[in-house]
Amino acid sequence: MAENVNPVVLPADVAILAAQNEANQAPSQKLPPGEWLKKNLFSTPGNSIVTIIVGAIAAAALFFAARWVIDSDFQIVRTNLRSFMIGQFPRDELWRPWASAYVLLAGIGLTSGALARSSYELSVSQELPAEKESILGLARRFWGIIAVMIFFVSFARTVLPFIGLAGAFALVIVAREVGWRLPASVRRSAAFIGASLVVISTLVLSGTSHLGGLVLGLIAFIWVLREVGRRDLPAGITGIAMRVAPALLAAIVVYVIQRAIPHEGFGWEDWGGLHITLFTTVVGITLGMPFGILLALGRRSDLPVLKTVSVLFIEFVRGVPLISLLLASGLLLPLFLPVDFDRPADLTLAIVVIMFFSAAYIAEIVRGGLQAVPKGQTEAAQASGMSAASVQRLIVLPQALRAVIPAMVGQFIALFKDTSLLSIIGILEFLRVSDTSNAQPEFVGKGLAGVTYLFVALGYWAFAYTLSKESRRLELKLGVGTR
Amino acid sequence: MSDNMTINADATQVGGNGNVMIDVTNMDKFFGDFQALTNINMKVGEQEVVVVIGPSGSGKSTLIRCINRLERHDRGSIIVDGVELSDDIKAIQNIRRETGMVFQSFNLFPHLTVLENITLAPRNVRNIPKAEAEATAMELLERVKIPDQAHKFPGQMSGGQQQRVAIARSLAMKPKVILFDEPTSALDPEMIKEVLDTMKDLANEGMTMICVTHEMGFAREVADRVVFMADGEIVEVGTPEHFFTNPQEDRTRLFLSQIL
Amino acid sequence: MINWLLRALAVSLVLIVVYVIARLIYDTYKLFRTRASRDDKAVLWRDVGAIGIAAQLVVLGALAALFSYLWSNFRARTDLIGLDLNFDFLDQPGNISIADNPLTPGDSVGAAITQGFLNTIRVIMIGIPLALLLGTLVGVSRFSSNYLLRKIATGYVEFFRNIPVLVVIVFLWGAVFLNGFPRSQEAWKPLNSWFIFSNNRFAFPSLMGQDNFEAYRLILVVALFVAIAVAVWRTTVFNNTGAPHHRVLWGLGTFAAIAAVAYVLLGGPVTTSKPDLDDRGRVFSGGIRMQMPYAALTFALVIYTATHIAEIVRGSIMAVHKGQEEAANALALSTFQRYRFVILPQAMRVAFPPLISQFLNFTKNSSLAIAIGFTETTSLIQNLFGQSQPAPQLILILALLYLTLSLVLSAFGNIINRRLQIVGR
Repeated sequence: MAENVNPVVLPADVAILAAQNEANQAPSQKLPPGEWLKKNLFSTPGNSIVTIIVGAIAAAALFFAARWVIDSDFQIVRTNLRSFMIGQFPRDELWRPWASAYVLLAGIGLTSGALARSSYELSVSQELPAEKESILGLARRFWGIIAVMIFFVSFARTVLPFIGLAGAFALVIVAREVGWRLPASVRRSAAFIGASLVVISTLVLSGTSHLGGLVLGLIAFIWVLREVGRRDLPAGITGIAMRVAPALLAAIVVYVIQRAIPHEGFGWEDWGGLHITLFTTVVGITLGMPFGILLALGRRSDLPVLKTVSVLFIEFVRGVPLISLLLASGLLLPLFLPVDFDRPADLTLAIVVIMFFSAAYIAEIVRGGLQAVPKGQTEAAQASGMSAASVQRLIVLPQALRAVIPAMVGQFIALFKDTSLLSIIGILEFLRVSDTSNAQPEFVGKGLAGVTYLFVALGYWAFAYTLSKESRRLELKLGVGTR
Repeated sequence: MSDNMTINADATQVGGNGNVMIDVTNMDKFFGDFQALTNINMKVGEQEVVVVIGPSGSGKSTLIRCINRLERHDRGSIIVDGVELSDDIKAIQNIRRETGMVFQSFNLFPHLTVLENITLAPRNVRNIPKAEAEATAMELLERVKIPDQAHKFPGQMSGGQQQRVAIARSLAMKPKVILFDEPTSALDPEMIKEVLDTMKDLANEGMTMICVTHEMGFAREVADRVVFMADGEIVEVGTPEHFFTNPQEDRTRLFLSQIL
Repeated sequence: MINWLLRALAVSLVLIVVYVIARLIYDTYKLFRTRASRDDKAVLWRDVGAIGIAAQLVVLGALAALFSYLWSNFRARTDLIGLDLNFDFLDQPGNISIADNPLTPGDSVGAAITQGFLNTIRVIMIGIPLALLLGTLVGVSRFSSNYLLRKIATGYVEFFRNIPVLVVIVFLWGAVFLNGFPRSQEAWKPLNSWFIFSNNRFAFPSLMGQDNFEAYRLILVVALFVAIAVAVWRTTVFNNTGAPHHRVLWGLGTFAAIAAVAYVLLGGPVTTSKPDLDDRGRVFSGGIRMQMPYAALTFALVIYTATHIAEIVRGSIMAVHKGQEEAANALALSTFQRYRFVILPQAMRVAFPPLISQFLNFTKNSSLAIAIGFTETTSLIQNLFGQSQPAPQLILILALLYLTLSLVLSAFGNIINRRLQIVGR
């Protein structure tokens, strides 16, 4: 297996160069409307012809689209709005999705506030221009999601979702403010707080502690390890107490949460809609990340066994369509389980496959990042007497991972869109709700597929568009490619 | 060389053989709201060598980039070899055809060999037969002393060699004037001399040249006139002797004291 | 073909395993050779080389244990449901028929899969060039000085790039094609029914050979060579005299002139074939006909992939250093010459690797035909699942077919890429 069969060109590189060149272009001047028209639309005869033809086509398309939208009956969306959002979740437990979403948003707000503050402090300490982002600025950055959410809620039949959405917006802003004001020592653990809140949000939704408790325990464990490993603690009893206290605290919290939710719970089979789409994406990327990093390191290893295994796995997964892997998840994967083992839920099987799938793609992204770390970094680390593992863990990986953050966001977007394929294997995610709605007796055969598909497309678009803009922002901010 | 030239801010006296090659009158240039050049008046005579110096950001590069329309000037007029620079594409192309340019970062075409770099414009713009264009190119490469590099790609050469190829490339169009935009600033010290030597040879052969450079030795030795610019204006003009020994303006003296 | 691929897979897997084991043995041998020749050797369990070999043995052992465990589970389960683990079913009758395809239900499973695979190829052969064309046009449009064109191109890219390709496919199929076009009984026949559009088929006029068609075809081939010769001649003239060559114009002109003269002399060897639809709206004849799901899949993939290609085209043109454009300008090259000789050759180099990966994505995304029932590879194999053909083997074949396609495409791409990149290094 030759190393450079697929030359890895990070799409980010191209975009960066483009953005830099774009920034170099002189700003355009304000012109009066008449001159503006002449300069931008009718500067030459050829240009005028293009304007007229393109304008006519665009106007026609817009006219037909508008007429179709106006003529369409959106009752089907109104009836099924809840299904689009949360699928078949038991209707008498609706507080759970709301509460879960609120906890999640609080986590996102808190973490983003804390991160924004840290980066602000860093800029200030380096005497770079820095400014706290205003609410208006945030609204402009996330206008896609905000607009589509408001659009979605406008289909609601009661006023409650309006209040809920307004509350959600308010909560994010407040949580962000709180995150911004957190003391520096707490801010450093913002990622852990955020991750814990995400898990708690899932626990609230599922009402069970099966897997969630485990993940929460894991997060607590990592946090404890970090606290115990701290070098800045005083010696003696106080130091020991400060080392033991977090461990005890974490254990107690996990135990209490485990106990507090004795409910049988609502497993994945009860979930659905936009929620499961987002959930699968987050879980797929999160679980795929460690595995993907290992694969990337394996592929760059000098040891033939590790390298061959990694290359085979990565190239196999990247060479076949996701749908063939998802078909295998239902038909092939269960055959590898012990005979006395019950068949897991379809979504469980699918998530396993998605994890492997995203691991292979993440591995290639990370490999690109690893290649971008100058060789001098490894040499300097080795020269200072670090072990091979430490060199990778402390020097190479942090730089590589930082450089590939935008590409990771890109992979997240790609996976988010790819989860729509779950509809083909019968999982009630966002896109499939559109099919089930059209199969309802009151809507069947009315040709309303277009209406629901449009609705679904807007939902996907809002998240993907916002995230891709954010990733471009990150690229510029991290200066990837300027190296 | 006209020794009788006085030191003042008037750059409109014609040197060289007395025929005007470049005539810049009352020229202003803006980048957005920022005025990069203010009321530039300058004439360059045939076979004259004008060296433009000044602190960075003083507008000297912008000035020569306006002369072949890499930047559009906003007010005033620029006349090159009797053709006025306007928005007329024909005029622009005519002027560019007669004006060579050598860039700080060489800007050789990395996907073409040295020979292809040099013959591209003569063959496609001047419609010169291939054999003739290549013969000229080889002559030029002899002249810049790298005839053995003709079939290499720019990426395989040193900076100094690349810059000499760039000079050969602009010479291949048989231009009436060559603009040098800090041709040695991106070079390692040991390569600067080979490029400067090439430029000196050109000057001695009677080429009209405008050089933006920080090489004071070159200015002293080769220039017919030195133009000092600061803050987008021409501050002082004079022969090298007067300029380096007896500058009149404070800004000039400050600049010279900083770099010499 | 499938049997051949399976054999190739088995052989390459064996080769890989042999290679890995041989490498391990060789490395171990070399380790002890080196150790034997050195006096200052490290303790064995602290020797860098030994640690490496031990780590690999551990990984290999763990993998072997994992696979044997999974395999025993697999055998136990397949025995339980009585599944044969051989490929004999490939020769059994498949009971499959595909629209617009000569396949009969009596044909074997293997033949059916082959036909499905050919349908996949049909999608990518038409779709990839179209996507490349549309993507390039849109990508270049984003540099246009025309405000309207620029904004429409941006809007198109930003919308379709950010929705799942599956949504584009089902929307085009379910909303536009099925509901937007009339039933075939009331088919829409614009331009004096030279075109027929219904929600069942699209039909376009085509060319049909008459008498002397063979001779005409021969003449056209000859004309092609003559045209090339003329173009070469023009290039020589350009090289010798420097006069503008216009070789494309000259070549096309020559070809057109010969074709026109021969057409008249041979008394019209080619006529157009007009598509026709019988009264009940069932049977088509004449012209070129396109199945609806095929059209929906191909167009949707083109619309989606073109946005990604447009971004690559735009990015790669912007990635060409600004100094290159300035140098070209300073040499008085015209806009066309600037793009033709300086910017595009460099942009192409940047664009090529990501373009190849888009072509691969296109190929893999064509499997989403499964959602709208166009019978290509994936969808056909899903049909076979429904007929209780053995799933494990079919999934293996499915993966193998796409792997082969990916390998062929990327090998092809790598050859071209190497040629592109080698220049100027």
